[in-house]
Amino acid sequence: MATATRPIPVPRPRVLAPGVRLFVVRTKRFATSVCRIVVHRPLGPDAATAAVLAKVLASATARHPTRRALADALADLYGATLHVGVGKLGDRQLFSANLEWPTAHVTTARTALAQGLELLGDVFTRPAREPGTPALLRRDLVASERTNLLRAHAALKGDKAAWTLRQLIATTCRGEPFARDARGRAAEARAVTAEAVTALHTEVIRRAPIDIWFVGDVAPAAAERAVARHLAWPERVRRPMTAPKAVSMRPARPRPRRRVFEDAVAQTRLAFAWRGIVPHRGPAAAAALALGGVLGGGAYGRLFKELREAQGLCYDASAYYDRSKGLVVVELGVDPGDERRAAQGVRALWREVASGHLDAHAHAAFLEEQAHRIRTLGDQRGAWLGWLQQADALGLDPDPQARFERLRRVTPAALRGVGRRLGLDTTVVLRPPGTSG
Amino acid sequence: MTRARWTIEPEPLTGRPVHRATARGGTEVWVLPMPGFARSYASLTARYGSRDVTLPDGAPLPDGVAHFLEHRMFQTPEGDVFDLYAARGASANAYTTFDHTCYLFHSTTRFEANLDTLLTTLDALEPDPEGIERERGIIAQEIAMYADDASWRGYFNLLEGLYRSHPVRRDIAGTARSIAGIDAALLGRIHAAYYHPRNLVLVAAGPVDPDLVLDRADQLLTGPGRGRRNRRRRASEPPEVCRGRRRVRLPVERASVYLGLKERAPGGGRRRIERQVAAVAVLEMLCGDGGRVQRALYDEGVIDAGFYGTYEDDQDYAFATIAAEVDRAQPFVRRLTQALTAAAATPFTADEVERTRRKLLGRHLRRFNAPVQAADWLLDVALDGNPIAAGVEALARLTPRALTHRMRALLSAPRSVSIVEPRSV
Repeated sequence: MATATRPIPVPRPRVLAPGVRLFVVRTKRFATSVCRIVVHRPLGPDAATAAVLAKVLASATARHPTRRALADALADLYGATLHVGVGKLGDRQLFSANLEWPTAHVTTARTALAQGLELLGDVFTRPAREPGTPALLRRDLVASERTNLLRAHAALKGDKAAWTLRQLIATTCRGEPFARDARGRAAEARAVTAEAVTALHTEVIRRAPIDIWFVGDVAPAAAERAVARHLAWPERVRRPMTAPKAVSMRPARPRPRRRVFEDAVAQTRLAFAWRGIVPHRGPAAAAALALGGVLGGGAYGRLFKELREAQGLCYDASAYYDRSKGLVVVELGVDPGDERRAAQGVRALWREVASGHLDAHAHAAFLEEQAHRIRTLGDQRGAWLGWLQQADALGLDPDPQARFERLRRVTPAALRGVGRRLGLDTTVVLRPPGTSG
Repeated sequence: MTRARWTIEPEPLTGRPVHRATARGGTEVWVLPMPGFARSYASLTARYGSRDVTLPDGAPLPDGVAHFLEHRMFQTPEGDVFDLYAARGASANAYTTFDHTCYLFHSTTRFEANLDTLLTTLDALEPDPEGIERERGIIAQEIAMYADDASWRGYFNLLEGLYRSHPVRRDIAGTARSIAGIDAALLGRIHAAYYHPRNLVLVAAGPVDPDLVLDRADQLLTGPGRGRRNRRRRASEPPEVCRGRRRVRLPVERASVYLGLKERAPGGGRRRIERQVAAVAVLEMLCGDGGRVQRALYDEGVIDAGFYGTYEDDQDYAFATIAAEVDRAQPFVRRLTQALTAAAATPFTADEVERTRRKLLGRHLRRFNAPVQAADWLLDVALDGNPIAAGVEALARLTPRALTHRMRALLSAPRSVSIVEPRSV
């Protein structure tokens, strides 16, 4: 039976300023250090404004007024990678600025820590401003990044699986914050102005709840001093906003909704959402995670085994459970002539798993996979920071071993119990015109 | 016993000891111990890919058969190999490229058992006609998935435009038609010709014991075939492109443009690595973030963050690709051409070269943040057959004069353009 061990200690936060917490982890594993600033925001109508702000911050700073100057500064740090962007966790938008840069094995190693943090501080707190109107972020950058955001929305149509999932979530969660893409909606992006972007930046710096994560081979005290020095917040209000709620759930609609889109595609994409009210902590959430995993967590899952390996219907078929929304999502691509058969197959496998049948092979493999994932968290900073951020945002136990034990205790009865809470809410089909399986 | 057989060299940036030896059956074994990591990784690679369009005796092979064989190798008389890995919590996969087929796993426990599974997976092919038929359906869906993928279509249309006869112009997975006649007998002949120990490379990285890896390779990579390593004859290919322009319309909302620059075959050895490193540096200085062409087109609003330049080569082909998603394809092609011409007019400066050298050194260093990426680098080194320091040494030798010359040579290479346009245009 699978076992897991805690990968690396869970850091305790240090409060740098009101609502600004710092988490430091020392590890010798990596040749580079990572510093990530995470801002917790509601996923609302200004999500597109935040998405534009992220790209504006990544374009230039007061000290690096052109893209080239900023790119040169990153290159000087041996090709430091800067990513500023938005994501979502349940009904919460996560705005993040992430810098990764070599702090060992390079000629700049001695000064690299301070240089990198100073550069991240420039990006996040000292952006380029409009000449003659220093209260405003640069209009040209806002206009350019607003256009690029609209382009990104349009480009999604090129990824049929992602586009189908977007329609599924938008339909299933209509009227809820989660229905919105992390980058907002195209219509909202069109209305973004330099004034709105500037106001949002000011609000973020002054009032938003912020977490800073640092992972590298630096003594925690030294890292804390360096971060406090280079990422200081002089304009912080005394009482910042609290982090918005991330979790909300609704029961499935009484009659499932089916949306069909037709386009000149070679392959039919199918997506299903089951949903219900499942407390996001505790045994029911563990059972729902197991349900998603056994159904379609990997090459061991029932969808893969039955629809791909046994019936040869598809190349990919997967499922996952989102614990912040009580959603099980299934997605696959099939020959247009097999649409009906594949849909019936998905529903039959759902009934099998949700009725408490824990296929022994799939269940054991799911637990082994989870144990493997936990053991490798310390090898992958992105996954590990994501784990800690999720635990913090959802109020989960950050100890991987404790969470794994809950998964291990899931029984067929628990699976049946959570299966009863979840109902089919929405099906989305993208298929060639004139086909219906 | 095994210890004396290793050649050990330090990786030039991190000093990590790279172990290299030959197993008794003739398989090259490369190991990079990375203590401190939880994840161990190993791959077994056949020097056989989609560009090998004949058997060693010259008998022609259908397109997509290397990829088809890759799918089938996971089936054994005991069942699906994925199940064995999954039961041990290991994650396994495989992929086929133009010139090799790689089988891999990573795990955190029971490395030796997983390694044994990997080393026995390629022993024999399971001749199960029903399974082969089922696999055909699965692969047909994989092909259909890529048929809807604008970037895949644009890339392979570019290769068809660049190359007249070289097999890299053919899709790795083949077509529904080309895979229709593949059967157990054909797969068996290919397996015998290309999946014998002398044509395999074993790579491992992570918290692994090199002696254990070599010992297991000695024990398990022994047969049945005793063929020679796959030494490809250079494909015949004229220097000019096959077609200057290819266009396809797909159900997308934005156009994609792929500009290809076809260079002459570089041959092998250090010269190839030096040409490759210089080409990558040039493309970084032109198309990377803040590069000459990138910043001009980005500031004009012509491109977004998806703009890139890449370089691919082997001994008998080499090409650069510059690609972007754009609002309108034709005006972009004209503007890109102008920007490349303008960039070539001015020699590179010492500052530009030093920054690019640092970027590329940093990129190399990042590989050692994870056993999987480190092993990928090791596999490239093994398949290329060059000294492990060749790439880093080539970076150290870059000069503004040499790179300016390289830029001008690259930008004067024959060109082909592949365009993916929305159907409504």
